[in-house]
Amino acid sequence: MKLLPTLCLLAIASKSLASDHNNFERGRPLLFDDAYSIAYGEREFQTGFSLTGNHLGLNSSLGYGFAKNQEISIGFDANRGSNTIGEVSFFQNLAREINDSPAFGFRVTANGTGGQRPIGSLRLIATKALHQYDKIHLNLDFESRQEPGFLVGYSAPIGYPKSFDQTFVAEVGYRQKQAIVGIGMRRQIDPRSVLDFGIESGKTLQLTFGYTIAF
Amino acid sequence: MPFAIAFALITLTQSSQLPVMPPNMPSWLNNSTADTLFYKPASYNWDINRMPAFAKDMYATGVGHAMAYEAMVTGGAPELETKTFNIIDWVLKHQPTKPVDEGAISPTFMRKYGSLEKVFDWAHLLHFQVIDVFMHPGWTDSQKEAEVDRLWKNYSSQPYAISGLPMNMEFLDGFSYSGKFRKENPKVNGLFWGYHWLQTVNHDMLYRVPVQDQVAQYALIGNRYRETELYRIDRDFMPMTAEMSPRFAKRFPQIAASFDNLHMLHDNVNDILAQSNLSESQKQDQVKIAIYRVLDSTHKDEDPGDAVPKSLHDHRHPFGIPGMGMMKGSDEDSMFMAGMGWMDMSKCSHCSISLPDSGPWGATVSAEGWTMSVRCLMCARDMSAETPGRAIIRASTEDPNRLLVLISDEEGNWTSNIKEVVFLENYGDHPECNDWSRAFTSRAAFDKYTKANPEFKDVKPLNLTDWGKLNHGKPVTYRKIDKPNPYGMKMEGHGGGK
Amino acid sequence: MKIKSMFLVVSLLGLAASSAAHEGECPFCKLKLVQNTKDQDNEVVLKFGNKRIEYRCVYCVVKDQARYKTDLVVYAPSEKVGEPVVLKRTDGKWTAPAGSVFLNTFTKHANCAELSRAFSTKDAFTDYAKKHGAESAKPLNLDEFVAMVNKPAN
Repeated sequence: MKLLPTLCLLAIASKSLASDHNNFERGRPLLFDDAYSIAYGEREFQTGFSLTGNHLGLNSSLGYGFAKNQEISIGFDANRGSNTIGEVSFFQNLAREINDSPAFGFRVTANGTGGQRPIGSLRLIATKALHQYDKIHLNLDFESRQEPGFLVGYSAPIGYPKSFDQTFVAEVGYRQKQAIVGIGMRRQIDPRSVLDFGIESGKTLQLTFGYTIAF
Repeated sequence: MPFAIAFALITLTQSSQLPVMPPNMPSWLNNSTADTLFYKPASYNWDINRMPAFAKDMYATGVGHAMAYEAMVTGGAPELETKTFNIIDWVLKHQPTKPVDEGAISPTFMRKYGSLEKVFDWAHLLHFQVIDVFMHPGWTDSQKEAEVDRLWKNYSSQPYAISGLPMNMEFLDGFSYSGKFRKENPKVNGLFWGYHWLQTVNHDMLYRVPVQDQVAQYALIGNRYRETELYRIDRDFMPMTAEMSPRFAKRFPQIAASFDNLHMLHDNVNDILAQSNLSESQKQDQVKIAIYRVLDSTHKDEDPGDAVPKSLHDHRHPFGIPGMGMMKGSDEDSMFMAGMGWMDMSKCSHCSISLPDSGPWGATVSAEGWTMSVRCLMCARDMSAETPGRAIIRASTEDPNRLLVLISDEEGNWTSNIKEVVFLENYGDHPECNDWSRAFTSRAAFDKYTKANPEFKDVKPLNLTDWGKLNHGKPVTYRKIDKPNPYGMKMEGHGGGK
Repeated sequence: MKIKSMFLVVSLLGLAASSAAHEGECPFCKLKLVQNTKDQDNEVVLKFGNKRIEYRCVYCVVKDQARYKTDLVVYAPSEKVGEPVVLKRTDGKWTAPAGSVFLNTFTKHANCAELSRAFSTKDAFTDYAKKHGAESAKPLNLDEFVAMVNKPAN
């Protein structure tokens, strides 16, 4: 396992025509996922910068919807001091929202750095409409060598019914012994691409800028 | 049982009772997963954006459908013709510059009718990708046609694929709930059928038309769409692909039929949602049955032309239009077309002589929202001249790889995509008009033709301006099919003189 | 060429019984155009640029004029075969030959071709009106006719 990938997955999102502003995966821009995988046959590249104090980090990932409702991705995160963390992740949608029932999904991740034992994690996800357009996204995290954590994400498209290209996101949660609060935005810039921006306070304040393209 | 009695019973049952759930419903209709599919990866994807005005109009069509569906499942049905119409109309006048996530606009509808969204999404992807291929620069027409064939194969490989067989539209629009939406919501239904007009008319605008010649056509088509077609509430029936894009439909009959079947499914869903006497569960069941009717899997091993007349498995088509099912009142020889009345699609719309079986020959004329096939350039020009407004002629030349695109202004003055175009017009009998009325890409091509056909050796070539001024009026061979409107909606005239 | 010639003959034979010249619909009222006969012209022809558009009656032309932005010429059938009353719209203003008058008494478009017509003289108008049951109709000059056509419906 010494040679765990030096790539780390962050976030992948998309349904329908392309990667779009109203789908959410961790890191783009906040930590929570929604319960949906990328589309079958979709390939998606994500990259982003994070600014924590005076430290600039970089992360990128490449995902592939290899089957209906299932995706696999590899990525790296050079965001944590001098250690570059590589990651392999599998995501599966188990159910979509039907009438009043939430959508469910899960993510299994293995990550680590050279010379260290890999860390495995499991995330259980539920997505449910709150009012007409906004949704909540409950994430329960179980990581090896960590206490369980949770996130409650919130998303609401902005501008309806006159514009259709951006979504406000927010989250609160508790992970890795830290309370987390964050807000952000995702904005469609063309049929394939989305820009995101987020600000999150955990142990420190972190700014995130990201880009996602589906192809 | 005699056929007539059986048919009468079928008709009675169809028109008076709700359809019942067939025993062989595909299991995926009850899948609980999202099952989202991505479009076929390719270099041409999103080339629709090469024509921003067209792309924006197309993106806006998705917004309107989604908003109306969301309104109908959230108690907004009584306000469809007022509040919802006004919002959609605002969007149509301020179109999004990017494709919209319809699911985000209609989340409640998605939760209730997720299976339907799978069918819609998959078909809409085919719609867009076909357009992208035709708008892709650098490929030959043959390459594009081969790719569209591959797209159809890719589309058909999924269980959500809609059948490419012609289906009987009278049957599909003949259930107890049919017609309710359009009757109660004529303005919003007009918008929907306006979308269908744009979604079907564009294929002949693009098919075998050089990329650089596509934009000029949309200046005319886009205006027509935004100013007239969106707001028409006098249509008898939804626009059909083979009516709007006959050249495309002839080459890709399966795709044309699948688009019509998709649009019919839209109409069925509108009508089901408009039924205030049905429970939520009944509506969901009826939508699933409507999906089942048009799925490719429901018509496995059936072929165009197969017929259990006026039934779900009636795959007959009017002669000469393999990509279109039978319409109300139509038979193999004639059909009723919006704006044109009864037409025999196997004949020239201007001179009523049969269209030749093989090319190169003739043209299509697009004006006043319709598109019709004609035998020759003269028929195309004179038909345009007798029709108010601007027109587009798409015509064959001697070069099978060069389509002539002529666009007229309001006064019938023409511009051409082929600058060196010359015309042969040696007026004679209409049954041979496609011999003596032709377009050539150059003077040299004209000379070659007249040399090979000595009967034209003394005929002088005409340039575009001189050719455009000619007019031989309505041919004596023209025959109008004189039958009443099968939809029973008669034009009442516009008021008297007193 | 043999096959072509046979096709020509068969086609013409096939169409002869059912065809009539200039069949078509009026762009305004959508009713069938009325053909000229040997005794009376009926086809109203609007010409401008390269366009030549047939209407069912003069009312239909004037009522539909807003869609045309350029100058127009209308050949309105008169009481004389082959001698139409020529109306012109120049810079938006209609003109007609001196002495021409108009009949406009139809109540349904089914009758518009018969009861919305132009005449070169008032006498011709009176004659025609008498023959077509419109004795009480008032002969209209062009301005009156255009004003009547453009009058908003009640």
